[in-house]
Amino acid sequence: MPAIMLRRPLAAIVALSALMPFASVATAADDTVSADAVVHHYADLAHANYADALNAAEVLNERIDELLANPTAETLDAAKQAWLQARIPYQQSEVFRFGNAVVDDWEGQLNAWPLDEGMIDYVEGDDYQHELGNEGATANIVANEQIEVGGESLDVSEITPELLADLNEVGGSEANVASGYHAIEFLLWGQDLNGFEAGSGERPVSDYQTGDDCTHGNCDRRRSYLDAVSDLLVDDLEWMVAQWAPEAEDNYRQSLLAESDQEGLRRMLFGMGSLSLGELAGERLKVALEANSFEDEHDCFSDNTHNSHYYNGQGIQNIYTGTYQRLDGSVVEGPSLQDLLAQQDEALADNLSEQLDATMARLDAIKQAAEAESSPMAFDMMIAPGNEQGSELINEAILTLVAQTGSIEQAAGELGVTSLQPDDAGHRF
Amino acid sequence: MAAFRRLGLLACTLLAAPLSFAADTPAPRDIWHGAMAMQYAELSDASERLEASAARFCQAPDESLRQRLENDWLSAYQAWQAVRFIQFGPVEQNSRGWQLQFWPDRKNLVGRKVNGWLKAPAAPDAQAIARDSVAIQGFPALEYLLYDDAMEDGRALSDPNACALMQAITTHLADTTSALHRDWQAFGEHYLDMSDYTETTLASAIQALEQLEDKRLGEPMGLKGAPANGYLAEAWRSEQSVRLVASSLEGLRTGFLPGLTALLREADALPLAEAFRDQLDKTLAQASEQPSGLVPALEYEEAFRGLQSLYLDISQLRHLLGNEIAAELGLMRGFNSSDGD
Repeated sequence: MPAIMLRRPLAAIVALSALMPFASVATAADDTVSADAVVHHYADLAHANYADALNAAEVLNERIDELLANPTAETLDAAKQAWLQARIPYQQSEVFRFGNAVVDDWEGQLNAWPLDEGMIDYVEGDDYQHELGNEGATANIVANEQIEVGGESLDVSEITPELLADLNEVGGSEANVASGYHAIEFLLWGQDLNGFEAGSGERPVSDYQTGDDCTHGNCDRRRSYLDAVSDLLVDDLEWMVAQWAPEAEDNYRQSLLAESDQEGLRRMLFGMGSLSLGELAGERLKVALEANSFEDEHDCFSDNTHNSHYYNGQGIQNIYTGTYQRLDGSVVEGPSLQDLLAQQDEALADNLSEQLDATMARLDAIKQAAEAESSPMAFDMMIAPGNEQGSELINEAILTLVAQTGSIEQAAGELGVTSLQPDDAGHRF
Repeated sequence: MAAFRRLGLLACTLLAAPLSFAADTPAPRDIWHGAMAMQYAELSDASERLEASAARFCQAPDESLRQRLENDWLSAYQAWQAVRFIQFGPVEQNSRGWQLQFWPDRKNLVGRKVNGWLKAPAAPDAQAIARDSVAIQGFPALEYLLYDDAMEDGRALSDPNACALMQAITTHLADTTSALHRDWQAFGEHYLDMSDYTETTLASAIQALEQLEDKRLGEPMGLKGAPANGYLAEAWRSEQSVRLVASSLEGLRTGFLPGLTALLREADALPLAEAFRDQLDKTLAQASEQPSGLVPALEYEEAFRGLQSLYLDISQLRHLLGNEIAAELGLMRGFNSSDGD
C-alpha cells in the first residue's frame, strides 16, 4: 500500500468518495481523483502562474528603471528581453480569464488589444489606422497635458499609474488602451512600420534621453509614462496573485472553492474551450489570416505573436494535465482534469490528451518558423496575401484547436457539466 | 472560366430535386434543407444579376445604370442577410461567411484594402481577389466603392481601374455564392443523415438572433455599456443597416420557421411555434417601419425610440428561441466561435 494511504484513514476515504459524484467505487481508492481535489489544484495552478507573471513583471519594472536611469541601446534591449520573458507566464494565465469573471473584468487593463497607440504617443500618420469613431485614437498623451475625448477635456498633466488606469477605454472605446503589456510594448518597440515585411518596431533609445538628445519631443513625459505604466502592471498583478492565494480570507479562491464541484469544473472547461476556439483559433489566428490583417496581430510592435499564441496553447494544456512549469524550472503538479476524465472515459481522456499535444506541435511549428535562424517568418509575414506556407502553418493550428474544442465539449458532458454558457445562470439548457 | 463552372451547376440543381419524401409529414431537417436551398439559390441568382449589372455600368457609366447597380447590390446583400443565420456547413468552408461580409470592421480594413487596389498600377481580376483578404471580397468592399465619401459621390467609380476592381469583386462574389448553393445541395444527404444537425440548426439560429441583438443593434446604438458608435453598424456607408436587419428576419421566416414548426409539432409543443411566429411577425413589422439607416437614428430621439422598440422585440424573440424553445427541446449549447471577446 502506498505511503500516502497511511495518512488517510480508509473510513474517511470511503466517506469522501460517497460525496463525489464521479468517483467510481470500483476504482482502487488510492488512484481515485476527486473533482474537488481537481478544482483545488486548479486554484493552485492559477496562483503559481500569476505569481510567476508578477515576478517577471517586477524584473521588467527594474529593467525599465535602469533604462530610464541610463538610456542606452543595451538597457533598452534588456528591458525588451524582460518584456518578452514576462509574456511567457502571462499568456499561459489567459486560460483563467474565461470562466472566472474576476480575471475577465480585470484583464483589460493588462492585455487589451488591438490598441489605438496614437492615444499614447506619436505615430506615423500615413500608416496608422485607428478604430473608426474613436476620438481618443490620436490624443497623444505623451505630447499633451490636456486631451479631448468624447466632448470632454481631460487633465493628463501628471502621468501616474492611477491616471493611466482611469484612462483605459476612455470615451467608451476598447481600443483606448493606456496601460498593460501592449502599451509597454509600444513604448519599448514603437510602431511596426514594416507591414508584411520582416522587422518589428524600431523606436530609438533616444526617445528616452533628456535635454538636447531627446528625439520625437516630450521625452520627460514619455519617461514618466513608461515608469508609471510598468508600476501599474506590477500593482495589478499583485492584486491578482492575492485573489488566488491560499489561506487568505475573502479572496476569489475562497469563493470559487465554495461553489459546487460542478461549477468549478465548468469554469475550468469553459476557460479551456473559449480560449481554444473563439479567442485563439478565431480572433487571434483566423481573423488575422483571412483578412490578411497585421492590425489584428497580437504582439504587433515586438513581433512576438508566435510566442503569445504558443503560451496560450500551453496554458490550455496546463489545466488539463494539472501541470505548470514555473519560470525557475520547477514543476507544479497535482490532481488533474485528465485523471478525473480518465476515470469516466479513458478513451476520451487519451484522445483529448493527444489533441492537445497535436495543437502544441502546430503552435511550435509557428514558433520555430518565426524564430528560425535563417530567413525567419514572423506571424505578420505568415498572414501576408499569397503566403501559402504561412497560411498552412496557421490553418493547421486552427484545425487542431477546433478538434480539441470538440473533445472539451464532450469532456464537459462526460463530467456532468451541463452548461458551458458563461451567462445563463438560471436557464434550463 | 467562372461562368462555365457556374453553368455546370445549374444542371446539378435541377437534378437535385427533393431529397427525401417522408410521406405526409416531411421531417424538420427535410423542410429546413429545402427552404435553405431556395434561399441559397436566390442569393446566387441575385449575385449573378449584380455581376451583370456591374459589367453594364462599367461599359458605359451613366446615372440610370448606376441606380440599377445600387439596387442590384442591395438586393444581393439582402439575399445574403436572409440566409446568414446558417452558420454551419458549406458556408464555413474557406470562411465564405467572411468572404461575403467581413464585419465588424473596427479598424476600417475594408477601406484599407480597397484603397490598396485603387492605388495599384493595374486592377485585379477575380482570381487575384480570390487570393486576397476577405475584407476585399464581399458586399462591404462593393459598398465602399459605391458609397464611401472618398469616391466623390460616385464619380471616382467611373475610373476604369476602380470599375474593373468592382467587376472583379462581383465576379468573385457570384462564384462564391454559386459554389455555396451547389455545396449546400451536396451537403443535403449528410445533413439529413446526422441527427445532430437539428441541434446545430437551432443553435445557429439562436446565435444569429444574439448577433442581431448585441452586435448589429446593441453595440452601435450604445446599449452594451459603451457609447453609441455608428461605425460599429454594418452598412453604415449606405445607411442600410436596419434594412439588412429586416432582411435577416424575413430570412428566418422563410428559411427557419417552417422546419422549427414541424419540430415543435413533433415535440407536441405547437403553441411555442405559434408564439415564435407571432413574435417574429411583430418584430418584422417593427423593422419595416424604421428608416433604413441606423446612424441617422442616433441623432433623432423619435427614430431612436423606434429602434429601441425593435431591439426589445428582437430580444424577446431571442429569449423565446434561446430559452423557452431550447429548454423544451432539451438543447445543450457548446462553444461557438463568438466566445472570447
